Amino acid sequence: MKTVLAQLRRIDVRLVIAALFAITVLHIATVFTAPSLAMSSAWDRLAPALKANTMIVFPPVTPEAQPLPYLAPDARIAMCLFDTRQAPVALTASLPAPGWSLTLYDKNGLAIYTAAGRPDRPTAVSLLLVPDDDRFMGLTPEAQGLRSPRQNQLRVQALRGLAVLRAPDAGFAYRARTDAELNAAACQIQQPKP
Amino acid sequence: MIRAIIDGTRAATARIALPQRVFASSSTNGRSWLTTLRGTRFWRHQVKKRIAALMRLATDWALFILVVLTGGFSSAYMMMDHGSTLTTLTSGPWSMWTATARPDADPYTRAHHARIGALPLPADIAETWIARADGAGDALHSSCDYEISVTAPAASWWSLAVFDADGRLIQNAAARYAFTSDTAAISPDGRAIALLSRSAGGGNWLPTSGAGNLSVVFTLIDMSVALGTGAETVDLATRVPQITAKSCR
Repeated sequence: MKTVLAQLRRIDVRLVIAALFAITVLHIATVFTAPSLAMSSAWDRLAPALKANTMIVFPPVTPEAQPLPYLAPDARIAMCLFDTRQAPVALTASLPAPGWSLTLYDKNGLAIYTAAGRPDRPTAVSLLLVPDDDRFMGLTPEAQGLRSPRQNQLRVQALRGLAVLRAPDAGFAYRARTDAELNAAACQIQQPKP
Repeated sequence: MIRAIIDGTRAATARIALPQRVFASSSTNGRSWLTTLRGTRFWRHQVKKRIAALMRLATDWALFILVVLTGGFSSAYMMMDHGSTLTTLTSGPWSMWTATARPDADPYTRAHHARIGALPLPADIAETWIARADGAGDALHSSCDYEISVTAPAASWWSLAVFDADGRLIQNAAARYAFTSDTAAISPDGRAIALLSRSAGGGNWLPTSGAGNLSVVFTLIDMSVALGTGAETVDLATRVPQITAKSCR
């Protein structure tokens, strides 16, 4: 016991405090830099395979065609890589039943916007994705004294990211209907009206 | 702090006297060759002492750096990989990151999902639970058979999928990878019972082939929460499926 106490007394307290401080600094630095240092984030995996501002319906997920880890074939997926640097992007989709969802992710995988299907009625989603900076996008129809064609359109500020439409796999009998709903979803650049 | 440690070590080593007499010529001070030889030995001894002191200092610093690197990286890895009570909810073998994909997610949650490269449903609309062990705490492995009993809330959509330890789907001839509330066979008592086994089974059988360690993901979209008709408090123990090991080979 005395030996142990003698050994403990030999420990330099200042050194222990310095070590704890350095461990804390390294811990925080590691956690904060991990997202940017990740070698294969979802964005890195998907962006090269997607065409900008085009909704692409993915084939059913199989072991040979699994775009992301932990992505199960419990849902069919349509994705759009949106990029609003040149012009606003219009995004429309329908969420006819529970389990359906539309989520906009930024490059870090954080959801900017999300909508889920309801059991009582279909949910029609119409979004206008605009840049998140103070860019002049031209006069609005209302400012020009015109009736806006986008009355039920929600504006979402986002520069680049992924729009993911998930449709739950309800079984073989429903696949044609699910595919039709996914194919009806649109993601395209909003052309300025003359 | 570190400067003080360095200064302290430097002061300790500086107290070691240099053999000044070695540098003096024997012809001028009249010392014999024996005295010079003894002086040389003394000088060598002093150099050895200095080198030993420097080695001690280098060893101390190497140990310090090793402790810092090990502690810093391992604690960050643990918090990013497994989470803590600050970032995850646990119920038996199941755990869920509570701020998954949310814009206000904490740095640990962001780092966790960036590292695994997944794109999970946001925690605002869905609960994504993952289990890597059975109810007894033993790691899920393809050499064992498991029964998973799902009792989900009535107004909900759920799915149960099995992956290998790295989140890859398990290749199997039956092309079965997941069941949902729409595709699973439901028992008369309202439960859905899935069987995880490498051997073919009836009902909601999910083949595990020879995948080794397994991870099971349970995704729940609870409409009662979205519609505001759910209960105020939720019993997590009954909310997540029960995993029971049946047999091992």
